Order: sequence, then C-alpha cells, then structure tokens
Amino acid sequence: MSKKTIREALNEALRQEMARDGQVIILGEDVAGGHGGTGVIDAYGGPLGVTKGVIGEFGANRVIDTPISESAIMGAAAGAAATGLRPVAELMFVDFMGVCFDQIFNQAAKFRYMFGGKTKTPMVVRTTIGAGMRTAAQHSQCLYHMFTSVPGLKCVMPSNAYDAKGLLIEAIRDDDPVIFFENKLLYDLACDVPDESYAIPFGEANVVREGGDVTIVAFSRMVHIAEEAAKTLAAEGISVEVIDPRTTSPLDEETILDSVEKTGFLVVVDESAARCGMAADIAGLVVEQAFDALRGPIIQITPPHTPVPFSPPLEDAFIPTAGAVCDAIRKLLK
Amino acid sequence: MTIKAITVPKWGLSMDEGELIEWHIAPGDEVTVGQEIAEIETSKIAGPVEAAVAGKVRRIIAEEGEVLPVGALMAVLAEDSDTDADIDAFIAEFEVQDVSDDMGEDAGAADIRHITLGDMDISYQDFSPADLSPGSVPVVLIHGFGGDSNNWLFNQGKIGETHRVIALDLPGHGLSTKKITDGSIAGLSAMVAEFLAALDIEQAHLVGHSMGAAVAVQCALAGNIQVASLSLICPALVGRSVNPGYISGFQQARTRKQLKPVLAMLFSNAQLVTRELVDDVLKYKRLDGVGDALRVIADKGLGAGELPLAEQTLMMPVSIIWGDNDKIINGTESHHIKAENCHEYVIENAGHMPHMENAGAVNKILTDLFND
Amino acid sequence: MNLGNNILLDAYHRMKSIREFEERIHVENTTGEIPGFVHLYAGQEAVATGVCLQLRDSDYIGSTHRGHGHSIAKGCDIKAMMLEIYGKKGGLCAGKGGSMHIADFEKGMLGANAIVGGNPPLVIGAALTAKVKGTDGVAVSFSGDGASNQGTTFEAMNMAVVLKLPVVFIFENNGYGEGTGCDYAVGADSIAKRAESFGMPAVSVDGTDFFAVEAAAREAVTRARTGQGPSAIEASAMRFYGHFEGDPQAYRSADELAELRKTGDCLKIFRARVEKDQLVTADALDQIDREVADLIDEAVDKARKADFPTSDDLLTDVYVSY
Repeated sequence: MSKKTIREALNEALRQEMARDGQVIILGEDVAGGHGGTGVIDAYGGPLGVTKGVIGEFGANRVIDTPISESAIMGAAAGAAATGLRPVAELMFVDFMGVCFDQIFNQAAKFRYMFGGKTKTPMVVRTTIGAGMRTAAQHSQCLYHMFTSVPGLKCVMPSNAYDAKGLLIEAIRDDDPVIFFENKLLYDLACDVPDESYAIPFGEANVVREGGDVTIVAFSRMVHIAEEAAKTLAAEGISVEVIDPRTTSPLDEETILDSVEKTGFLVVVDESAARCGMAADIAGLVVEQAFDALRGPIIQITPPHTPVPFSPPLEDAFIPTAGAVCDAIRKLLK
Repeated sequence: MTIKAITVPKWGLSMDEGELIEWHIAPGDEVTVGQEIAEIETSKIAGPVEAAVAGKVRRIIAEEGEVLPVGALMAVLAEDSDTDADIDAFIAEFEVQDVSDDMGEDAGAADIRHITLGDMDISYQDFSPADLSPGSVPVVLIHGFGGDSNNWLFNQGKIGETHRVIALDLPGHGLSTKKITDGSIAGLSAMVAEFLAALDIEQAHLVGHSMGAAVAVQCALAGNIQVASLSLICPALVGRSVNPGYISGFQQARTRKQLKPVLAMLFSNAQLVTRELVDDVLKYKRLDGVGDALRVIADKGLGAGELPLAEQTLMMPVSIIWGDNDKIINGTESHHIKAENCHEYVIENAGHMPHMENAGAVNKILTDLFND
Repeated sequence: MNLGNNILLDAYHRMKSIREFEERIHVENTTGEIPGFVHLYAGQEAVATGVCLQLRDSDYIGSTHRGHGHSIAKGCDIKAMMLEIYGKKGGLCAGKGGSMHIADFEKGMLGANAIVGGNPPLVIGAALTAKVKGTDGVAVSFSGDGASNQGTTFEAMNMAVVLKLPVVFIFENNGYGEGTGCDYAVGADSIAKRAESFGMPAVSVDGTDFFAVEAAAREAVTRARTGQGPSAIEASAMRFYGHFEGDPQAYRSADELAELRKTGDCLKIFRARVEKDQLVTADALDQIDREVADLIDEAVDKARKADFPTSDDLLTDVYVSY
C-alpha cells in the first residue's frame, strides 16, 4: 500500500493485467511513441503519460503504436476482442468519438446481441474527459452520457486513484466492451492504493460522504466539487451525502434511491451536458421511483448548453463550482 | 509537576484523528488509571478512551463533536494544590507530540514489517517499549478468519507498555501473501511457528482470536514453539460451533450492502460497523487471491472439525475470554479445553470482538496473565 | 495449377448454393414472410467462393450488407441462415440479427455488416489477434466498390500496412453503390491501384471467372499466412438484382440486365469451362444442382414453420453480465 496518483494507479493496473494475462494488449496513438523518429521509443508513453514504460516491459507486439486513425483503432480493438484478445484501446480525447463512433456503438456494442449471444467483445476503450485545461471545444468534453445511452456498452469514470486501479482491472477482465473515462485534471490526484491487484465490481456506487439533509450525486471530477461543497455546508450545519456512482452503465440505482428516501432532496452535479445528460437521467430515475420521498425540486448543476469555451474566464464560468452547489443547496433547504 | 494531560490516543497505524463523541467525566471527578473517560470515533471504529494517568479533573478542553488530531489535549488532571494559573500555563505550553510512529505511551517505534518464509511474504506489526526488560517474553497476536493485525489496535498499545508485541497477518490476510499452500489449522500453526523461529523467538505468550485462537491452541498441542501462556478470545474449534452463516456470508459478500449485515454479526453493538470499516474489509476482499484463500481456509481449516483436545492437557496458563453476546460462536455449548491452570471470563456488552468492544477489560485480563 | 476434381465440385457446390439461396429469397420475399429488407448476392458467387476456398474455419472474414454469399462460402449452415432471415428463434443469430447481421464465429464468419465500410477495421483486428498470438491465421475483408470510398476502409488499409497484418482486402466491384454507378462515385481509375498506393500488392481480376479469383486469392492468402503482410484484390462482377429486393433499378437499363444474364453469369462460365476441359462430368454437376435445390426447399420449409423468439428473448444477450 502506498500513495499513488491516478496516472500511476492506471499504469500499475495495465502492467499487472498484462503480466497476468498474455491476451491483454494496448493499442492507440503514441501509447509508446517515437517509432519512425530520430529520437527514442516510448517518447510519450501515452499522450498523458499513462502507458509510460509499458512497452519496455511487454514489447511492441503487445503495446502497439497506431497511425492517427481512430476508426481503425476502435475497429481493430473490437475485431481483436471478438477473436480472442483483450485489447485496451486508447481514444486520446473523448471528443474524437466523432471520427470513430460507428466502430464503438454500431459494431462492438451490438455484436453480442445481433449475433444472438454467440460472441463476446472484451475490449476497453480508455479515453480522457473534462474541461479546465484551456483546451477548448474539441478537447474538453465529458461525453460519457452519449455512451451510457448505448445498450451493450459499460461506462466507468473513476474519481480517485484507488477506484481507478480497481475499476480498470475489472474493465479488462470484463467480457463486455467497457468505455473508461479518465478526467484529465485528476491524473495527479493521489491516495492510498494497494500494490496488489484488485477489481472493483461495476454498478456499485461509492458513498463518499454520509449525510442526512441532502443527497448529491456527482461523477468523475465533480465528486470533488461536491465534497468541497459538502465540507463548506457542514460548517453551516447542513449534512450532505455525496454519492459517486463510479459507473453510469450499469448504474447503482438503489444507492441513489435509498439516499433520496433518507434526505428528501437531490442535487446532481454533472459535467456531461445540460440537456439529455446524466443529471437529467438521474433526475428522471428519482422522479419516477422516489417521487413521494422528494421534499423539493431536483437541482441539476451542469455546464450551460454551450460548447466548452477557450478563454479562461469563460471556461471557469462553464464548469460547475462548489460555490454554485452550496448556493443551490442553501436555497433548496431554506 | 502534578499537572497531567489526557490526550487523544492513537489506535492502530492508520489513525490520525478522532471525533470526541461523549465525555464520561466532568470537572471535579477523580479519575483512576484505566477508567473509561470518553468515547472517540475514528474513521474505522468507535472506542473508549481509557485514562493513562490518575488525578482530579480540573479542565475539560475538547468538546463533544470536535474532531481532534492524535495527541491533542483533551483534558487536564491536577492536584488541588495546582493553581488555575499553573494549569493555564500548562495548557498554553502544551504541544501535540509527533505520535505518527508511536503505538502508545512509552512505546517504541512501531512499523509494518515483512519477512519471507519460503514463497510466502508475511507482514507483521512489531514494537517494543523503550524500556523493555531483559528476559521479557514477547506477546504474539493471531487474528481470526478474514481479520488482520489491525484488529488489535486497542490492545497493542496497552500490551506494548511492558512487552514486545507482535501482531502478524496470517497468509491470505492483511498485507501477507494471499496464496495459501496449507489452509489447515495445523498448517497455519506450523507457519506461525516458522514465522517466530525466523524472528529468533523461542518462547511467546500467544493471544488468538476465534480461528486465530485455534491456531494458538494447535501451537501449544504440537509443541512447535514454547508457549508461555495462551489467551483465547472467543476461540473456534474447541467445542463451541461456528456460525456457518457468517463464514459463508463473509466470503460471498461483494458489495457494501451485502457485507454490512455480515460484519454487524461480529459486534454486540452493530453501530460500531462504520461505513469505513465496511469499505476497508471490502478493499481487502477485492484483492486478487483473497477469495481463494478464504475458501481454502474455510474448507481445510474451519471446516475440518475440532482440534484433538481430548488427548492432551495443556500445561501453560490459559485464559479463555468470551463475549456475552457472541453471534458467531455458539455460547451455550461447552468447550473441550483441558488445562492445568485455566481461567474463563465473560465480557459484558461484547460480541465476537470483545478485544475491540471492551478493550479495557480484555487488556486487563491479558496483562495480568503476562505479568503473573 | 490444376485444382482437382474435389475442389472443383466443392466450388460449384458453394456457388450453386449461393445462387439457389438468393434466387429463392428473391421469390419468397414477395410473399411478405421475410421481415425487413434483403440484399442479394446473385451474380457475384465466384468471388466469395474463390476466396473462401483458401480459408480455414480458424481464418476470419468480415462481410457486408450483401453477405449471404460470403456466409455460405465460408461454411455457415444454410438452414440456420434461412431461419435467421425469417427472424426465427432457431436462426444462426437467434433471430436477433437478420439478413444483414449473419455471423458464425465458429466458422470464422465475423458477421455481415449493415454499415458500408464497417468491416475493414474489424477485420484488421482479427488479423491483429493472429499476429499477436503468433498463429498463421488470416483475415479477409469483403467490401464493395461503395465501401472502397469510405474513410474507415482507408484507415484499415493503412494500418494493415503499417502493422504488417495478415489480411486480404477484397473489393467486389459490382458496378453500383446503391443506385449510383462506380464510374461516377469512385474517383480513381481503379480500386486496385488505389489500394496499391497504400503500400500493398493489389490486382484486378474478372470476378465472374472463378479460376481468376481463385488464383489471385491463393496468392494473397499465402502472402498473409506467411507473414508478408496485406494484399488487395479488386474483383468485378455485376449483381443480378437491385441494391435491395424491391429496388426498381431505374438506374440500370433493361439491356444491361439481359446482357448480364447472358454473358456475366459466373456459374455458366464455370460450367462451360470445366465441361470443355473435361475437369468434371456434367452428371456430377447436375447431381449438385438437385441436392442444392432440395436443401433450399427444406430450408425455406423449415424457416416458415419455425417459431419466432418470445418477448423474454428481447432482454437477453445484451451483455455477458450486467
């Protein structure tokens, strides 16, 4: 057990699973980097450094640098998964789903169903999400809601290093296609992570903080925004329960509903989308199944219905803040 | 100086702060050493604070509901002769000691160590008082099924005031190797003997809990180490049957919801099972190899029948400690331990974990036996 | 190279099975019993057959919306295929896929694919499996002239060259992408030459000539199997029917279709060649004709009578576990 960042935890998970199972491979753009150049191999180790050093341990036959061809990467991963490998494919930024979504949602996600249950597609797509790095409209989105709505896919978004390692190992061992969303701003966040391998089951929310007055459901980096708000409100005597579902598909509906039954108030903090996003999805769930428990309106705290802006003051205004969460809860409980 | 500080104790290696739940004393009360004076809750578990010093309560510093770092000043004891000004000065000058490596008052450095036995890596916590008397026999703490060395967090400090105290993680548990080569009680006992031999320990006071108690008894029966005394807390496989629902429930639980009611069976007071405690056990259960290890131990160890007690009378002093509300070990059946010098105790308001739920009473029984 | 009597009879059996299967669906489709739409492969039988004869069950193919021929040539069970096309529970995909999603992984059939250009990325994945595992497996992508224009196809060809994958890209040029002629929609003079520019050997063959397809495919599959990387083959053969059943085919002249049946029928061409060269007897071929006709009769009869899936089947097989 030692403190590890999310980046380190993910790297360790990949190495341990590749050592355990020779069918696990990594493929993507610059997962090593340096091929065909005049410098060194493993020049990048992943665009954000997550796969650094893995090629040195497992070789180029299993850590495969590809051309910049997202459709071919996703399709090759799906085809390899259906024929006996366990590929971990990297989609550098989730925004690039635009040039490869067919291979994910029409192909990988549907194989099992449209082929009558006769195949499995154990692939993982690791991708990055999140605004806050001044990377503007095409490198900053949190599009997990779009994948969540596709039957056949599983969607995972860890908020801390312990979860990151255990959920990635579970994703690699899972026999269905899993989309694994890593928030770019969380990579350096550290916590205690066991050195041994472990798997966290999908569909079990983490109750990050227990409280009795109001329930916050938050995803990925928004979990930390929710926690910050909960700490501020605790000093004012408001007891906040913070739930991190960890996976949106499958979704731990029971933990969310139980909490709302207890508190009577729900706030969802979600960076995905103002319309048809996870906030709307959770709100719909609670209205349908726990309507009688609600003692006030459900508050959805999301970015506005705009693309992610570039200029720092604009981007800061775009991302949900702890202050906004606190204000909403104070007003709600007044 | 007769002014004395009551400070926040450190329970186990991971504790760095605690919330004061309730005071049991008020200014003017006379406090004796060992008296339960307050209740503190950590992220892991709630427990009583025992006074380490005696005197009259002159000042209550910490407030109920307050979260305090380990070592923080909670209250001040003093004689009538000490003036308020003296006490104010004491409080003003009080500095929180760095207790990050200490397990208790006067304890020496404690840390997690590892030793390799064949293909096994065994983790253990080991510490000694700074003024350990030569010839003192070490105390070895053996946890039960699914437990680990942290189960002794309320006991290590007290025992460690006078003895070297070693709490190991059995294979398949804690930070030790998860791969089990021999999950029988005899196999685990042989492993404990090998472990102690590797530490150059020839003689030890063995303290075992539940299945760990069976392992300790087996060590005594097999004679593979010199057992100075045996302390058996809610011992398994000595006549009273183990609740099979707990063993299977513990193994099968995959989620917090499934595990919480199982862990609640361990305690008389189910409120002690905090969310963090459940999370910690879940984190352990998720580790690769743990499921297999627990299955092997449940089958070959706990499932293989009682120890062969009828053939042998134990010659060393033996203490048997039960909880009065144990839901894991059936308390109505008789046990089959035969010993020359045996004392049996029932701890009130305790379930299967009396050494956690009523640590003060258990610590007294243990230290009385070791110091006898 | 002489193919031998058995291989020629096998080839004829596969081609005839495809033809009979498609001609029968063309008829049965008018009864309204076949749900959805079907795309028929009649006219192109020599391509699927000439290629799949080179493959083992452990080799993989990826197919298209016009996939019945590839499925039959690769060894999929014909009765189970017919059940699937009728949407019946006993179908090859339990009635959940239909005509455009027939798959049988045990036969190396990775699936028909209703997305034009959908399969090339998947097929290079199957080839990647063979390469990583160090087997001598081969993967073959069947695409039409339409799919040859898709970006996914370009990406897959480039990556196959870069990673030196054991894959063969077959481009079946049947003259039309839906209702638009390939002379209009394919910007290059030749699909094969365009494939060659990605850095792999590529040839153009007459897709109605089984022997030409067979020879080109043998060379390409051997290249892949021996670790020499990808190849491409453009095989030209016009389809006898429309893009889909019910397509009025206003984009084709009546003369074109009549001429096609006369001069562009790969089965007639095959039969003439083997009878002229006395490679197999006419009796043996006639015998196959009768067997195939009986088989298709049985397949249709069985498919008509079979049970549909139940509402319980709606919710199964979305995930392995959820």
